Amino acid sequence: MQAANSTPTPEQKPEPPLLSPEEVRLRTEFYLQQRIHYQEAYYQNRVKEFDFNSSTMLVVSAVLMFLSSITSAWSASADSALLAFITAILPAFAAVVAAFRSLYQWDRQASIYQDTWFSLQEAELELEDVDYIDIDDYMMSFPGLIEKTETALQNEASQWGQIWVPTSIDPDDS
Amino acid sequence: MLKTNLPERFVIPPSVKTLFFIKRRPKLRFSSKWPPPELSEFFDPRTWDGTQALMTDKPEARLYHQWLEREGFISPSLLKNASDMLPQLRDDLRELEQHLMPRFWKLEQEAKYFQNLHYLYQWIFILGAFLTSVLAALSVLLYQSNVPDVWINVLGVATTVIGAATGSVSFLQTNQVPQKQWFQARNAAERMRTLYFLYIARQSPFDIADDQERVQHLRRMTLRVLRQRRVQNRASS
Repeated sequence: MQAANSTPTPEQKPEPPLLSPEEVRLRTEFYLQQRIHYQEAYYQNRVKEFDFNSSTMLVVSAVLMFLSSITSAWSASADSALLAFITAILPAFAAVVAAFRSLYQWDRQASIYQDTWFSLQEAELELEDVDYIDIDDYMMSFPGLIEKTETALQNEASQWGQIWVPTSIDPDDS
Repeated sequence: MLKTNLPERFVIPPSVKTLFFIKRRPKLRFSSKWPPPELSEFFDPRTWDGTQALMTDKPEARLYHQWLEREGFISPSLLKNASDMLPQLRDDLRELEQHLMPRFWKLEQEAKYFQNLHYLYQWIFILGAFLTSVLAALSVLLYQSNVPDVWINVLGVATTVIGAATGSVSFLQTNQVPQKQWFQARNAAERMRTLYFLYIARQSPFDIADDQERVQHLRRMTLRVLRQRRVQNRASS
């Protein structure tokens, strides 16, 4: 088994590249489209959704607080069982909202996704602008693009469990 | 550049429909098996051959191509503009379809299943606590309103049922640990996705000149991901 990117010793001939420049260009474009742009669109969409949920629930909490204050004050002076009932259940509504905010953690999630989106944008800088890039530049830039992108995505995925980095061939696995 | 073909769901602006309690509400029935019910009429897992689906243009194959694109993978429709380089790339996609994708789909579906289960249990806890408070307040209201005792008894029974239901769900939650299962499955699925793109790019650890050896390494790596998940699972149980 031979790794094509390994540095050849003086007595070894340099190995031919695994892919032609044209094929590297094609695979870079697929990688950009299906890996980077796909993930970027996913993060942006989720950040919008989470921000929307977070701000909406904040408004709902404020409205509940307002209603709770009004009904508490009112029920103290009015002899109404219904008003007392409403006063009793409004904090339960507020508790539901707080529980969902805690369950979904929209602000924290949005922050993680936003950071990853920036990291992906940064990784894209490994590649020259499409108007100026030469076909040979793809060969030079592709490994760096992949390394930065996968690192960014692994950092984001590490919230799901232990960070895992695909290693080179492990002799124990053969 | 290749034309961008992102799924439609990524461009929907936030609206009331995107509020979590509509869009992200957990489902009572959710399959842990792949293919999920919406695809199972097309895909029989016993006879399904993803490598054949990549080569044909039948309706069920086209559905699978859409499914691939929706998950951010490379489908045959994206290859149409790249006919010159197709043989090598097609070979890579075929190997991935054969050795990686079945394992990815299984992990992906498991991750979704446990995610749904985790949120379902949490929703039951939250709504159970809310309903208990409401029923308690309602009991006081009815007691003060001098309604027949039977109604107060009904509320008492309802409160007991809700308490029993949340208790049962708490037992299930403790034993199934869906959140941990979800995280582990998601982590493993994302590792598979990383392997997919590293293989396509022929980057480390797939920067191997020999095709046969590269495929063997792909098989080893996917197995390693599954084994690691199994070890994690055993350690946490």
